[in-house]
Amino acid sequence: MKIILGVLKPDSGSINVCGVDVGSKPVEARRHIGYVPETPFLYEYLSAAEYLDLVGVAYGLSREDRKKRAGELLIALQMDNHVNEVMSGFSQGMRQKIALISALMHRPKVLILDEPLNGLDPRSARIVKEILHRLAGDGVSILFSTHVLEIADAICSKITIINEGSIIAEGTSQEIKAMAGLKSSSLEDVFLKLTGSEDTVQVVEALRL
Amino acid sequence: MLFIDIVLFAAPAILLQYVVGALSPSIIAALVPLVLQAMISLPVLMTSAMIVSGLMFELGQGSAISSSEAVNWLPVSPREYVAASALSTSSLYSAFPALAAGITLPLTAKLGLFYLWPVAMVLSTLSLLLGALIVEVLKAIMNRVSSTVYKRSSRFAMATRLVALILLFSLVQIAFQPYFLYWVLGIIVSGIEVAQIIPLVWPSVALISLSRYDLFQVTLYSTLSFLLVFAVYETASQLRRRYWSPVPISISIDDSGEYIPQASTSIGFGLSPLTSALAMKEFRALLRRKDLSRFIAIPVVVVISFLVPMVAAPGDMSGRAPGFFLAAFIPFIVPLMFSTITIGQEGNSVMNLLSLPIKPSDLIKGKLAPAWLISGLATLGVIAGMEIMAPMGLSDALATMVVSAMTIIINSFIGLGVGARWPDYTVGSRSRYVTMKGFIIGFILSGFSTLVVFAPLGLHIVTSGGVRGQAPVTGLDLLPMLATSIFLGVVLIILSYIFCKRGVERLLSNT
Repeated sequence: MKIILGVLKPDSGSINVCGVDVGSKPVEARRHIGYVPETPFLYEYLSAAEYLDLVGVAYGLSREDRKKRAGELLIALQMDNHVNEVMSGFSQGMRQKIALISALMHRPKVLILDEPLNGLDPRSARIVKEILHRLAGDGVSILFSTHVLEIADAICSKITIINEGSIIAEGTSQEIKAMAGLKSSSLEDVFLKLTGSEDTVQVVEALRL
Repeated sequence: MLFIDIVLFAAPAILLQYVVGALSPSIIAALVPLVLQAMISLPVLMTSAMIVSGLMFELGQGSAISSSEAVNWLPVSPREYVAASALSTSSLYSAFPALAAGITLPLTAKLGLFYLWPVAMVLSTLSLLLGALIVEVLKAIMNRVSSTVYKRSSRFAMATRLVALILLFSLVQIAFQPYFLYWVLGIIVSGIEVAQIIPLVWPSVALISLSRYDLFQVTLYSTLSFLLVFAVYETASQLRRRYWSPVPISISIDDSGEYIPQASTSIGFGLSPLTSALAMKEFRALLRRKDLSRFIAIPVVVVISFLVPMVAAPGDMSGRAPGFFLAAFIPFIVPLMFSTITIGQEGNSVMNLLSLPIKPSDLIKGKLAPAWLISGLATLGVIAGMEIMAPMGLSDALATMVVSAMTIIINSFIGLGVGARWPDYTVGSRSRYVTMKGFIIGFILSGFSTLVVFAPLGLHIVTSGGVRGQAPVTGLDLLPMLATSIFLGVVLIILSYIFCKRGVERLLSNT
């Protein structure tokens, strides 16, 4: 994910985002990307409004665009009442919502989301999933990383399972299940089988809790 | 830590053993009252040094680190927390007593004052612990006070805290000026009766009594010193127990309750809207973060440390040179300090800068705007102030301003270049925000650049009656010397900008 953002240099190869070579023009490429890191490290001494202003200006949004777009998202995720509070007092879920809003406010063509539903309340998680469905329908490319396989099963059109840095399965949920010979099982069972980590029962028994 | 303490004890002890051995009897006789006063002053110096270090480095920590919330869910009592924290702080500054012990051991042995040494060392260590416990009391109170004030008025609380911190650091700096300290310690030593009622100097009173072989007073004030430490420990524990579970607070910047974006305007001086937004973020960090607020106090402290001796002994500072040298020191240290820390202080939030579409040039201008403004104001203030106390004359003062402005730009570029190459993202206990290697490189590069740019103008000042009214020596005129300084400044601005830009580019592209 960081290579796509141009934050890390690849050992080999190159990446194009919307026709822009990330290696040579990282700043230009980032204009097309919205990014939510696994842990949103926001500027805790800023209020949510001040942080969204900074991000919006960085993406070149006008004041009106910021008010409209961020304002809508703030209301949708029930953060409008906290927008003028300094973020040091925010819970993990509130920080996650601000990170999501900052990633979505400039209508990116590519979304990179690392565990984006971490800490969200059920209502907000449902809203975010709906937003992602709609954005995908509108042609936005969404790269979504998660360890919660039910979420991947529910919202991803294409799934890649990576184990120890290597791709071990790729395709739709049904294709991967068929590949593992577990058509009627959950994606979690498939994952455990493919990664050779089916010894969970023995591990718990060995703990003698 | 132990190794450093051993070195700090052994090195001066061995060195002074040889030095003292070579001194004549008359010099040794003259040294006795000085060493006696130093020994008596040691405990109070330890307490004060501990409090100063605590103010500078412990109270300035972010609440995530200094709050008891980090441990209050563990099976730890407030008393244990206070004891552990005070011992940890004391051990961190154990270099103070180790160095004092190493210096005083050979001196007292040679001067016939050795009977004071063991008692002085015990009481000094106790005084260090006393200082650490006083810091614990202040930490507990400050956490409580800030939450209470924040709940009432956030903006007012932030402004008050900033002003209070600057005042606190400045007062501490004045208190530790050698002139002031000498005066206070002189009062303590000569006026033992007055000092007896001040608990913080009881260990010193015990030592004075020991020097007079008054064993009753020694026992009394040593016991009182130990009791004082227990009393302060008990107070710190009770305060910590009371504020063991801090009430979460939400600080509201604006009560409107709706998102009203700031206009994305440029603030002039060639700063784009993004640069202005970044600069505002930097200013807010300086004004709102406890760990950064102390840096704003540093220019004030630097000016005070120059001005106090001048006020105390104006006769030593006649002529134009003092103002000039102070005007050279501010553009050296202040922009370097602010620009060096500006990347490392981002901590993990640096990911924001890396993932947003920010060009290196925007980041440089946005990051350096606070350094330029604060250094510029400090330099202007100092030159204006010095014109009153030790005037340079209008033409020299204006020339100094021009050269100072160039030096500020050079040193801020060097600082940011260093900060971007060697950042220390540890935002925690006693953070420096730049690695030691970066700090040393920045200090050397900036020191050299300041020297180069100021040297021609300095030559003019010094050789035309600048130092204590000396007559002109070589008649190096202002205009050619100023032109040389400007030429060297322009060259160094270009070089330092290249150094800075490459560092920032490397940071943003992670190469």
